[in-house]
Amino acid sequence: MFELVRKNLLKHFSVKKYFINDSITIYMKIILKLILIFSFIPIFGFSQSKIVTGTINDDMGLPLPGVNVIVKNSIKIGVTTNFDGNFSITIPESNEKILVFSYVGFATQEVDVSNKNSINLIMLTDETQLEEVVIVGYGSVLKKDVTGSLSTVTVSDNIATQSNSIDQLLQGRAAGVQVIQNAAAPGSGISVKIRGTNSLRGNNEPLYVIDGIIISSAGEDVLPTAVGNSGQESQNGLNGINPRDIESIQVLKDASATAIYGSRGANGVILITTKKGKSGVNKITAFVNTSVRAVTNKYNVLRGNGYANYVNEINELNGDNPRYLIEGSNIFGIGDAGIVSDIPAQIYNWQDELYQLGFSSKYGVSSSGGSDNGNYYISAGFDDQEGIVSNSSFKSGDLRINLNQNLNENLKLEARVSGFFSSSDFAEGGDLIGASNQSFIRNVIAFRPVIAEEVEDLVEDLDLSNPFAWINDFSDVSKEERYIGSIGLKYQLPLKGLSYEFRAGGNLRVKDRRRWFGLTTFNGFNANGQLNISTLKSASYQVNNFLRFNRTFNRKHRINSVLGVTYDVRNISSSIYAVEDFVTTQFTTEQPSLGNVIKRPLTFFKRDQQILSILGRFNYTFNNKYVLTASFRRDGVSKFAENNRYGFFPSFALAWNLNNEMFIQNLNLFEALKLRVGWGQIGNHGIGPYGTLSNYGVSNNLYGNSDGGTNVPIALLNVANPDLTWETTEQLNFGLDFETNNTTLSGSFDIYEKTTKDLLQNANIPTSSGFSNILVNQGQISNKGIELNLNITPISNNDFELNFGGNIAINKTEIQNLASQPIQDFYIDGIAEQRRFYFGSRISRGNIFKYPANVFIEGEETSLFYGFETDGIIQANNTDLPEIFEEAAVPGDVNIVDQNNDGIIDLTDRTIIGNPNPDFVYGMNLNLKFKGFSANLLFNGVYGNDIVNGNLLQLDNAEGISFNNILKRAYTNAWRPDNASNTHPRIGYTTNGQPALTDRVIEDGSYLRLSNITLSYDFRMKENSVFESLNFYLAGQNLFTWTQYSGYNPEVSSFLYTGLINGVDWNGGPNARTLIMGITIGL
Amino acid sequence: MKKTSIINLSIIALMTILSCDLDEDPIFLDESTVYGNIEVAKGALDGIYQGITSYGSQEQRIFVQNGFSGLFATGKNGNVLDNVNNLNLFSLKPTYDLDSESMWGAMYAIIARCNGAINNIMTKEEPLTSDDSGFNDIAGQAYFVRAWSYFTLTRLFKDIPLWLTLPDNENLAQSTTSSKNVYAQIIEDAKIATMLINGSMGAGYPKKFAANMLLAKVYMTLATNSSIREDGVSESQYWQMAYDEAIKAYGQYSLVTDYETLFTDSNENSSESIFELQISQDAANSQMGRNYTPFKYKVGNHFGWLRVHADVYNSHVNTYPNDPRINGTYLSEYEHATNGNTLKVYPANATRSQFRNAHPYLFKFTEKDKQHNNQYNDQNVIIYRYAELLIMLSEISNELQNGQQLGYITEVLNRVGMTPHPGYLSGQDDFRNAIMNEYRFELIGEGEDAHNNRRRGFDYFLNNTISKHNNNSIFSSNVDINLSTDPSRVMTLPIPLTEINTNELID
Repeated sequence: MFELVRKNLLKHFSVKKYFINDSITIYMKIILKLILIFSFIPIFGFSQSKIVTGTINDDMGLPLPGVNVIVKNSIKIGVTTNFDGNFSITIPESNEKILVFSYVGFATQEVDVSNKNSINLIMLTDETQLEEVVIVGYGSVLKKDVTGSLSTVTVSDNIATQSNSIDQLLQGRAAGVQVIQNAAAPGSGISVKIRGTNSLRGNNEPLYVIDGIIISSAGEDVLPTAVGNSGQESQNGLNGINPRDIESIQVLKDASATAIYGSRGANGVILITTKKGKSGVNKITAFVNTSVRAVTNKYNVLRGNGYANYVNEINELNGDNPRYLIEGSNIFGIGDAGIVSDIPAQIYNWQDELYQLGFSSKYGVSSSGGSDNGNYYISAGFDDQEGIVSNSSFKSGDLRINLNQNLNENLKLEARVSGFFSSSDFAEGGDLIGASNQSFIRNVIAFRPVIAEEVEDLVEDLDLSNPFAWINDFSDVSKEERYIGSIGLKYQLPLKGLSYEFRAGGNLRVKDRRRWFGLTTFNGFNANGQLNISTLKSASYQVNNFLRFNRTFNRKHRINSVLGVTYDVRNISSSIYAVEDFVTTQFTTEQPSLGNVIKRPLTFFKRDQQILSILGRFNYTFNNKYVLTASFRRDGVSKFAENNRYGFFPSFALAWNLNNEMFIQNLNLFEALKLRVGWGQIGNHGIGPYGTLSNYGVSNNLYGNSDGGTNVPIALLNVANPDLTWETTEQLNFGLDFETNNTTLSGSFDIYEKTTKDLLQNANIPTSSGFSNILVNQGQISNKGIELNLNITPISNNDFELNFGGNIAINKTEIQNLASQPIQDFYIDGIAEQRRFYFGSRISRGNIFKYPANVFIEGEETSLFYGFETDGIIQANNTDLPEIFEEAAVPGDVNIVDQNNDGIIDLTDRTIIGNPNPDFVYGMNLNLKFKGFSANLLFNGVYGNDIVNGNLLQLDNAEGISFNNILKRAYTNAWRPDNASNTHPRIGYTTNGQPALTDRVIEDGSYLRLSNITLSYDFRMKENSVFESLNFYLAGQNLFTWTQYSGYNPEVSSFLYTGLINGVDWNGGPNARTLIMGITIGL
Repeated sequence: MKKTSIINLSIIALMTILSCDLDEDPIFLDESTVYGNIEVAKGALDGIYQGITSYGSQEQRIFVQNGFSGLFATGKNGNVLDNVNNLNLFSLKPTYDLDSESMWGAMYAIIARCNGAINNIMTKEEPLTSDDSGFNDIAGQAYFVRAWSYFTLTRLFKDIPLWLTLPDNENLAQSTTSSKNVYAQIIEDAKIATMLINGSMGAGYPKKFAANMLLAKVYMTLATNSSIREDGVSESQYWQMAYDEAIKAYGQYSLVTDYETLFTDSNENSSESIFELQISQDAANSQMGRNYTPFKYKVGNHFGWLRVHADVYNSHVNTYPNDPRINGTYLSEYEHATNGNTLKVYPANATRSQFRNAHPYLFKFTEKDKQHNNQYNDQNVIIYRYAELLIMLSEISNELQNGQQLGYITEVLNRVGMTPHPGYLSGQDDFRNAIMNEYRFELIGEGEDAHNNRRRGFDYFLNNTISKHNNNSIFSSNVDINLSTDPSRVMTLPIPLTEINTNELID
């Protein structure tokens, strides 16, 4: 100890000598240091240190360099072994004479050296550490060798059995993954977005890969028949991927992780690994759960008396007689001739009437097990869900068999097969023109609540398309089968570490969707019954050949590499057919031959694509500290012309495992600490095939002839673009992963920037060309963001464990380049700026929301809302009334801000009025376990986005058109000469025909949602019990949502895959919460 | 499995992959197939006509042309006087009008189909085979339809983009071409059509005389509008050119005996028909009988989109009190299709107490079968008919003062048991006014009202249509539309927003 002090003193005196001619300040500092040093002398002065030397070898007798040798419970006292495995360490007398030896991949050992001055130690391989592998694209790597940004999602069985679709597992659980789903409609369309908007095309869905086999995207569905104005509800293209069978999910986010998927990796990749059996553990698990679903909120529309007053007031303003006589709570209709009905009107609150409790139940069983030579996992389940309206339901059954078998010492076989069968009925999806009689949701909200007519049977006798008609006389029936299978052979070649793998697999999805409009629906009455039939047969398969080399040399050099050739074929065959004018409507969806008029001839659409690829990844780790990953992929895709067909997508990444550096180990803080940086290019060709070719086919309808028959008309249906090419995304990512000792705190932080150029999109073009859109490469977009993921486990022991965490992702999207657009006047705050821009698609075909909501401007975020700013209501004392849309304004009109102060409100007064892009998305979780009891809470949220609530265009104005019901506030707060409201316009004010959006319907879309809470209890089973385990749980999904949004649901699922419409709620369905009770037993 | 088997398997797999064909093999026709085979090309011709029967170019075109004529009111978008259409298009103050926007796109879709045929079909001056004749006929009809489409558009929108080729990825927008140049193209197309159309396509397709009639209409339009005339050609020369074209069609057709049957299934492709769209319920391409059938007139759904201004009806009745055309044109009293009650609007219900009963319905496009219950019907739509040609000849002759004017109009009136009223007998100006009104009495609602009313310029439109309506004796601001008198607004429709939003070459 004295020696140590002496060395320190000499060191500082030498400093003094060196700086002897420097300033007094330096002397003062040295004096202070001396005081500090001497203050420790009494401590060290009475202790004895000990020097220990030794050699460390591995289990093969080879010297092991780089082994960390630390004095137990010290902070900074430690050394590493040299190249020959030797070390020498001095242990202060005050410390325990115990050394801790650690090395990545080997079990940590503690050795008591109180009676030793030298030791020779053999480090043993740590089997548990070696198993920490992570699935990455076309392979797996040790967790410590991962260089890319990825999130791992694992969920408990209880959560999995509650979940119907994979998106429910992803929501809130992975940083940077935004999920949109409609909880009220089982099986409805979903959207998963990773790290913002990569493409303006609309389909930003990631690539899903199950056990190495690529399957379809979430947006894959049958084609709409495009008959009439009824919108076809989006349905989930990922049905058939059973959450219960999933072992783990890896979300690959940055280019270094996804570039190996080449032209399909730009939106991120979700790798799903299904379960397998464990050697020696034969297990049977069964579960059953039952749930009830109910809507969470409703629009507050006028009730009986309020509605009657509203209508009477309209009539009075129009100079007509009152329509209702109100006597207390009774309302009596008044006929045209002024005769008052003697029967009180029936009063309905349609939302209460139509939205029901939806009961569901699920059953499932799985069995798994294995031996040294193989394992198996088999599961089967049945699911019967009801929606929140009586004609919506989703029934499914599924079966999975996973087998792994060692055929001989060097050859392994893996087989996966799953089957899924579903049958669903959907509520009507909303109309495309905004008329109240053509949409179920709009109908439920806005249908008149006072039925003064003598109506016995509401469905038969009430007006067309009354809310009951959509329940009793409308069907949207889908039947779907899906089979996913793969077979893999892995052969260990004679060279150590070299193996060959052949993996082939496919995905077959067959769907038949039929939408029936009975005679009391608007469409059905018009057409005397209408049936639309759409089918889909999506067959894809891949043939993969891989050569893998995975070996460690001299404990210092680890190589994990793969070289492969893959051929990917996707053949999609769709058909549409529509028939009307039914002889009898008895068989609804079942018998199209009973229809007289073929509205849409049976038409087949083929969308085939082939991708031929060569790919490779090289992962090299030096000394367990420095990791290099390089990957490439060369894709050839059939959908581009030959000169644009091939693309090359490289990536490079470096990682530094800081936790293996001495200076970090000395901190004794981190179990893992890794810095990552990655760069890569990824492609996207997410457009349909044949975009480069001119498509001549049958236009929508046939043409008549002079004989009274029909002819087949041929027309050009598209504008071909032979120059189409790849979208290319370039991404740079910096990341930090950390995990403290005892795993109390772990997490990761990522910062990224990515740029996508040559954006593919179906751009709107002037209709004077004869067409309305064309596929083009247009523009460049960038995303910058940060992601943070934290997990804290303050307490963890056998009886009690507390764990909580969260993730947050901030992403900013910017349109960097729209060079294909001309520079034009673009009005912002009344000033014509010279900008490049284009508008999104118009929302409805009707007069109510007939304009685009979104605009895409170079230099701005995507999809901004563009329209008129408003400032309350024009008051009677306003003497300077503007001209609004070429009509003189009157008091009571909405006061649209005259941005350019020219006294005229026209399109030059539009400005940016909202932004649908969130500032950040986040998730939080809390897991608590106390003996057999556990509680899991999951929150997810979005902050800072705006939503256009298009429903308010009619609901929030006392229009007095067609006797539609309106929001209570629109009537009670309506501007009247004697009630100068500044919140709602006069009675009779309509937005019908307005040329652009106003900010009156733009709302804050932020929300925080308790998306899942599960309370469960594991019963302790006696050894001779019938059950091996028994778990009971209660769960709530979507129980609480904190939001200012006034619509049904801030998770807007309208126009999910269009790209040219974002953040617009148009006839969006209600939100629902679900209570679930379930039991899981192990046999 | 033996090692060699594995290697063989992998070699086979690799060979399979490396021999992959990445060329696409779609199941649709290409350009050469469509226009290289007469049967398929005939399908392309039907594609052109089918385009005219699309919702935008048929139902909405009729709605726009009538709505913008100053002769109609509508209950579409609310059965009230101040619905968005009555405030906008129908009061001649078109602002961001949805129907004209839809019509615009649909008309240009027809033009694109015509351009496809015109650009791809090789015509022959002296066709030797029936296929040659067929191709000539198809191309001729494409020229005719393109001319008709541009004529429709330029009369409504004035200066418009002129597309003569199909768009491609490097050519997606056109700036506007002056109406004068559009007319020049229309004339060129129509002339080519008269030379190429040869009847090969058979019944149900226009003959070359349809192109002659179109040319006559164009010349009449140019005659009365100096801003679009070719330099150095006088008004009278245009009237003469109009006569020369119209007279070629004279005698090629004949009037049907019963006026009312023109608008029923029973008289399709009649001797009077010059340009007629072939409608079949099985082809599911016409919702005219849904959109234009009065409220509860038939069992199936119907909207009764068009009502004729009460004063226009009165003008007809006052001119020809016992005209059988009145019953074929208007409807004011009928039986409710389901409950049998009698429903009455003006004039049967003369109270005009509210908008919905203040005007007679237009009856021409009504589905006459009261039990019909589908939105689609079979009734053909006549675009040009012989009676109009006769009225045109009468008008042209009056301008030329060639002495034939009374003969043609007499033919038209004799069909319905009428004779020319005294207005026809009081000099050229009175004759002119009489004949311009005669277009309404004979043809109201059939598509030409907006054009005919404006053809003689703003003042004529103001005096003979707008002011007459606004100042008529039964005008009531509670039930009647007040037509705009603003010359900057009433003469043309604005180019639709969707075009302006996407076309950088148009401000």
